[in-house]
Amino acid sequence: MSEQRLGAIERTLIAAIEQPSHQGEPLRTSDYVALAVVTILVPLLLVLLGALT
Amino acid sequence: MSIDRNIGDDRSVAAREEAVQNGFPQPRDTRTWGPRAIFGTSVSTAIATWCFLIGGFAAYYLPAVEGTLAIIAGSLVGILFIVLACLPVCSKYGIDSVTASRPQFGTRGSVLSMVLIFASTLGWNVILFILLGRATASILGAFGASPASWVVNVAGVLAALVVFAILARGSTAVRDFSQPIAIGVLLLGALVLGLLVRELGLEFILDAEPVYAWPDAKVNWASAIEVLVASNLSWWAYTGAMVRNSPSARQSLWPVVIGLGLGVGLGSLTGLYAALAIPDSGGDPTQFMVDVSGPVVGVIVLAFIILANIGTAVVGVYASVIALRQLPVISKTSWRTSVAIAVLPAIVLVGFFASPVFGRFSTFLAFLGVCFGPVCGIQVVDYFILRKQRLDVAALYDDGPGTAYRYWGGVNPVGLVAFGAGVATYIYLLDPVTYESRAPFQYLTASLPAFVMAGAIYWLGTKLVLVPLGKGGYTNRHTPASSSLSQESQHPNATGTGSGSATPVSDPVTAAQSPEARPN
Repeated sequence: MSEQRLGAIERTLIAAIEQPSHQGEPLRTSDYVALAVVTILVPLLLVLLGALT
Repeated sequence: MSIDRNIGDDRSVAAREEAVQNGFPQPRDTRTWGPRAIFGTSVSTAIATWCFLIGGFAAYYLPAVEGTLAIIAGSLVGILFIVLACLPVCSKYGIDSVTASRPQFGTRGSVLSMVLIFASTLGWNVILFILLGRATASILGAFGASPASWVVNVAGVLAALVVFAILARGSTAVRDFSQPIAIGVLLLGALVLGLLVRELGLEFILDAEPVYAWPDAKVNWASAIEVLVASNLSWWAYTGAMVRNSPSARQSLWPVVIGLGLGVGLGSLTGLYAALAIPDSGGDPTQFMVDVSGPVVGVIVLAFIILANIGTAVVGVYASVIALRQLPVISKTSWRTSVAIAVLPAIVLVGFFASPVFGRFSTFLAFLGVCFGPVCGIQVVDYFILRKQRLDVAALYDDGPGTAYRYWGGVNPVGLVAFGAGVATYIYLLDPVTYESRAPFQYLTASLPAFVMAGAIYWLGTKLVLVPLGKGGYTNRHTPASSSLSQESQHPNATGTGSGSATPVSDPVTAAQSPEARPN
């Protein structure tokens, strides 16, 4: 895995991904909030609903 | 700026694609999977016959209504761990899950991730192939034959060979094959469920009692939720391999949450109801479809189960191959050879040990939670809290002396200790073999405490050991210009970095003509 064994293509890919323009679009804060609601709050409500019934 | 325009000829494009297949970063403008492809692959991965077994396992503990709520809750909680651990980092850098674990376990320690990813995908694939074999045997039975037990083995092995033939075409086969399957597998669960309701009645299913319920209702709830959390944790192996092909984490988020997370939950509901109504089936429709729906519909459904399982196995073996090709010795082989290496263990297990392997399904589910809960906890703490969502990408692929993720001989002992602490926490709370539990399992399940414990120990170890000793790249915040790779980038073959400006990624002619512009 040593870098000395990396070819030009591999080095180019590594260098390219360091640039924000080549990186994937990140999640926003609103995405994390929505994710928390769906994966934490909703399950809690479901368990609560099950306990009540 | 386009990588393809900068590395323009066919040979260089092929070389880049092979490098990406070997786990190197996939630049954003070369990623071709949109939300539909991610969703289609997620759904076809999640909703397979294994869902019936997962739901059937939940039916041990809860009746239909409570089981439905617990299954959906568990599937949503489980996918949260996976999304946090894999989606941001794999999408940002275009890397797979194994590569993304190198900062936590070390450039060589990440072999642990490779073993886990290979074991989990192998386990699921073997289950699929066996179920496919059982479906084949049931089809033969519908035609009046009395198939011998070896039919299951032979059919499973043949299916594995079909998967090999499909994947040998390359990674695009995953997308091409899984999308049409996705729609069908969604309909499959609804059809099986509809047939059950029609034949047995809704009241019968709703009134059915769980078979192996514990005396404590809270333990039953926690057990059912844990089954789904653990099942979803196995998507660690699949998620990175999928989302690295998408240009946007935002575009991948809900397809993954709904397709993988909720998908396995909804798919498992049919297994829950089936196992409650027909306890001996364990939720496996291959064991009752012909009896419930008659030979014609039954055979059609079973035939579709066979196709769907092959589609799922294609994605699973693809993830295995990506993991295996992180090993230098494997990456030097052709893609076709790597696929063969990934498929071979499944062929051996299905061909010779189908029955004992199938009988250990519950232990396999627990193994997923035991292993991937701690891994996710460590990754989340490291990426979000300790590294502030920034990796030294060059160091992911460079285990030379002094590089950030080399630690000691390529292994980060803090990561391994944290992993061990998470595993111990899980096993203390829930015995993976007997499913007997200890407090506070009934309130927290086992995966969540294992996730938290592993993350906490990793944070502590990093602060107390790694940072003071200057290991792991925590003390010197990485900048592109600081890495050895970036120093090399002054070479004409490589890019200028650090500015984020629209400078060419490389000289296309030089890169394409260089003898090094070939995959290792």
